[in-house]
Amino acid sequence: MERRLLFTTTMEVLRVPAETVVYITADGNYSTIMMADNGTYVLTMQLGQVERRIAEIMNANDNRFIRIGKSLIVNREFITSINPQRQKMVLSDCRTFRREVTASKEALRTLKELLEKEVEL
Amino acid sequence: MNLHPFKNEIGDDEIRIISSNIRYSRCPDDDSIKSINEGQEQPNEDICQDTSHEMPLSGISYCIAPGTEKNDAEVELGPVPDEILEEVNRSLAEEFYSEDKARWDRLIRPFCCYEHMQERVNVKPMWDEDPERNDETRQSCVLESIDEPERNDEPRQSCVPERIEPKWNVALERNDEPRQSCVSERIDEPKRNNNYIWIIILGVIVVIAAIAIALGSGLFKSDDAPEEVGELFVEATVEAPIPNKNIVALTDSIDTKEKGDTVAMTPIPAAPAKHFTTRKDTLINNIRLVVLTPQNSVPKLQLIDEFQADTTAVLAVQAADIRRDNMEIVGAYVKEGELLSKGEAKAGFCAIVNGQITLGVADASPMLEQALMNDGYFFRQYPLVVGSQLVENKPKGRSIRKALVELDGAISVVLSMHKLTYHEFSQALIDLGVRNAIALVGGDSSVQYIDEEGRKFTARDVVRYDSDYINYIVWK
Repeated sequence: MERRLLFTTTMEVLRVPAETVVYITADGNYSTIMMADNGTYVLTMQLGQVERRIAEIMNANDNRFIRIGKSLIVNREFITSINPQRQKMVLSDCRTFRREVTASKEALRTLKELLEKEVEL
Repeated sequence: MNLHPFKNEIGDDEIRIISSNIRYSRCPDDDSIKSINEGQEQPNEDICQDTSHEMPLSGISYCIAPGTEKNDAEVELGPVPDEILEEVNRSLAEEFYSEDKARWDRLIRPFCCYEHMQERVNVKPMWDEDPERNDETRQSCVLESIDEPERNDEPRQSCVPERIEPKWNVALERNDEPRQSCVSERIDEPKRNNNYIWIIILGVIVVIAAIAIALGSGLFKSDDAPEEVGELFVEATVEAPIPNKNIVALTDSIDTKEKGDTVAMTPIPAAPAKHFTTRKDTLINNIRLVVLTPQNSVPKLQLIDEFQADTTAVLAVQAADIRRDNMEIVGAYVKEGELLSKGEAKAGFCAIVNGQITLGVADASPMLEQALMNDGYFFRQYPLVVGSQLVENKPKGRSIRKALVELDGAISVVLSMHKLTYHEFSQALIDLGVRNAIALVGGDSSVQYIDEEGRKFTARDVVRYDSDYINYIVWK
């Protein structure tokens, strides 16, 4: 059974499979979820609240989501390339979609090291 | 590696792995949500295996392990000062991830076991030595169970029991030796409980005092329960800035209507109403809307000079449009009974007569005469919603939209956070539950409000045209 992220607001409920969430960005009091089918959902939640919700829902051994800086949460399964120098990261399934996001050099460098270390392990 | 799992807030240059091993606590001081990682890069199923003992939203405090490896014998238990906690958290964040996992196992994990702690510092347990009772005590305070194959001979409880009130007199200066630590969620529980008890006692005293004062002043002697009526119609009965007058007038009218006779009313003492604006962020079909509702305030129209000289408005939004050609107001405009502009370019209108706002659509409205005769206010704008029905308008462009709406029996201002057409905006307002709505000046027009705590917010403050007729609807 795939695990779905559940977000509820006063107006609606959003249930999305965790593996289809590409990244989540912050926009003030709102957060926008970018899906693998190119769809987007806007939540009336701050990114910190979204992060907490994900941590509550996900399994203990499921650490696919990574908070990067103040305004981005990415699904590591979709990380295709990281270029700290250009402050670019490409998120893609290498088939149907490709999205580019920006983050600070230092954060991307850290993320790059983290992923490299995982590969070594 | 530059991970900072113990920091409550994350910086732009930092990353954090999100997993259920991150614990979140709600800070009792500022109600902010704070995250606490167990200090693992890779979540270990050994830790936090028994999730029934986790309290992800409860207050979590830290304790540091008893001293360093050098001076264990010097350590005594006691309340952990905040500065120690901050220092420990910071140093833990640096140490955990700057070194390998073996270091974590060697330095941290042993101290998550109370027996290890006891062994190191020779602390006498404060629970009974009866093993059964020990088990109960530990059950009540278990936070983490650590299965550690190489330590099968030792107990696996990982926190300090509730009844322990440790005294920590740890040397604050940073030693060369790495600090040991453990995470405990209950160590400052007694202190918090004491605070809660005092707060509850204080609250009870305040409530009793308030009741006594109210009884003494005769507030509860009225059979008509005016409080509910006053609250229910607070938006529609704002006639004067003195709230007591509103309550009396409203109660009077209700008595007359229901009982058929007049009742001699005496002014009811009440606390002065606070003027402020409530803000509600909402989402309608992926359209972000902000609903601003003025509370206990009286609406009026002001021209720009008066508006800029007076900063007491709890909510202010630009009202009628300005013509580009002659910089005058579009459509009929009445201010304090004086007709400043004529015309019916837009069918929607807003009339403010005796402090009451009326929204509607009419080419010729008697409300214009009412406003002129009663020193009221009147302006015209595009109608958006009438009787929960969408009204189409000619302009088809997209812009940030603003509207004066009747929502849930109150008058509010709704702002769109997206650029929308009038049609999309009207539809979103209907979905929001708006009954009547007219447009306000959109785009980058000025909006400002004061919230309940007295903080003033200004969304935009752009005046496009140099006109003396730039006007605002304000609530005071």
